Amino acid sequence: MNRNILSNMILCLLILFTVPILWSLGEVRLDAYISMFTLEYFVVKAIFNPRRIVKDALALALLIMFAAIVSYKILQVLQYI
Amino acid sequence: MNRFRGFGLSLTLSGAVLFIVTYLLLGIVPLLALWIAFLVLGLSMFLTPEEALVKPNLLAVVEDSLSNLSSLFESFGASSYATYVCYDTGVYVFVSEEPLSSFPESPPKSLLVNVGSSRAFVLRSPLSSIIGDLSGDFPSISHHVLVELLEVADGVECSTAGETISCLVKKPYISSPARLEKTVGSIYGMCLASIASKVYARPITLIREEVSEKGRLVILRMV
Repeated sequence: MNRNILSNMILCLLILFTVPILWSLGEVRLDAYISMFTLEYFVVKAIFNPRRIVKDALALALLIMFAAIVSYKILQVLQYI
Repeated sequence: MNRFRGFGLSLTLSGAVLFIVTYLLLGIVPLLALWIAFLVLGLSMFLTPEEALVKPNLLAVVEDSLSNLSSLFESFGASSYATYVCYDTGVYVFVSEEPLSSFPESPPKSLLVNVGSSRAFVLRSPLSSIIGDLSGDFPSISHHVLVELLEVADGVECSTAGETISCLVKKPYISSPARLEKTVGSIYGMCLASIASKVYARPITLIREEVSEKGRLVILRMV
């Protein structure tokens, strides 16, 4: 099977299983979901290395969001926020 | 845009719209996460490139074209050894009946040259343009060219022992005419030898290729 199609299928399965599993565990923090999506995207990217029509803007966007979430949590822990 | 990318785009747009509507009206976080999941999946599908050409078929055309040249070389009695030499302008293949130990300082301008006491045909490697800008070590460039760029194999394993380079091409997608293998080498042999000549900056002779259950074994030797 084409590597690009396979990577999208695996990503679909991972992400669409993540939402009901976290929902059933009672998770109500949106940043937890986004962090899991980011992790899954980068795992699929590392394993399959799918081609992209342009530079991987989605990976960059997810990384920026993840960095923002982590920074926010750190600032909360340090009681700056 | 093909259907796959079109579906991805519609998934992205619907995820974005549903996210905004859910955020403004309902505010249920897991549902918002589901729409974000649609957004991520849709973007991933939309960014997946379309297959413009079936690459194995295109490479089969190249191989068949080179087979004609191989017949010509055989008729002139100069077809046993293929040595790949990297110059500034690209990689050139010297096809000769005997192994060559010395090579011209600059790429020959004619098809038939005398190298020392031997006669050799000179071709420009089909991979010259592709590998021109690539940098890195031999295994990573080989993997990038064969698996990611040309998509003609599942993987490549390389090992070097002294002057000998052994490469195992896993699950090669295209077979190669025997006539081509005996002269300039298969597409895999040509790729690996061209890359090796560029990376190691030395002439590389394609010694032999073997097909087994594990894949295609390509043996190269530095001159």
